[in-house]
Amino acid sequence: MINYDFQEKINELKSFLDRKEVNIIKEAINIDNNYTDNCYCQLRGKHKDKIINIHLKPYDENSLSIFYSFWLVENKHNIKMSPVIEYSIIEIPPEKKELNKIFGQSFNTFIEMLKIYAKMNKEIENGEVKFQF
Amino acid sequence: MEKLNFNFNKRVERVKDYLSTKNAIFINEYRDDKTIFSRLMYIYEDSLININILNYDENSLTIHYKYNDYENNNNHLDSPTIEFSVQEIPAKMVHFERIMKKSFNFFVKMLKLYKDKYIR
Repeated sequence: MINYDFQEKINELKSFLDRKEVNIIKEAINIDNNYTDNCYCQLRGKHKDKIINIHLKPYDENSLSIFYSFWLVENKHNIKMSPVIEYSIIEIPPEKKELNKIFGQSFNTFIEMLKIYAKMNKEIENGEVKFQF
Repeated sequence: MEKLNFNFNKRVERVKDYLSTKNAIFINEYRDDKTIFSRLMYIYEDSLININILNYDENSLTIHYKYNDYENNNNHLDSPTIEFSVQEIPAKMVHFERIMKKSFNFFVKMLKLYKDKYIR
């Protein structure tokens, strides 16, 4: 039994992503307030030129988890190896203020990680690194 | 056990050799030969990190780096996890080694960013 309104948390996440100019291109949502395992919100969005995945799900009956991921294979075709960058936070309190604070911090951290990755790939394109991953 | 066209153990040892040159402190290894999996646990610059190495198919590997805040005792509530993985790395040693080194260095950069800016 979940002691918070999961749909409301999804709405808060979507509002947050909207403010961050993430354009949602695909979503899969299931809500079952009796079983935490049956609840999930999987969003695929475009932020600037990058496709990212954001998953929100209950951690337990009193908290949530958020997972961010970036798959190069979703962003670039004709690649053999697929690097995956992931960042997640577990056991997030459901209170709106705290939740939005963690949404903000975690999203910024994840985007900074993507920037480092993009910088490394730029070095590859400039020929400074010989082998892409 | 799936038949591989490369020596998995040699690749794991190459990772260990590289990490020893980076002053990473080896803690332990969990090995499952049945599923062709190796989890290496290290302390790197005061952080406990896990490195999982597994076969992707008979000709390639996957390497997965993971840092858990809760394992590092920074906090227990809203605990962040940083992960980076590269799949389908060609098993040819020269390729594997380059990707392994580069991916480790990228993971370390992500970790440093997190520790410098966002650790609470």
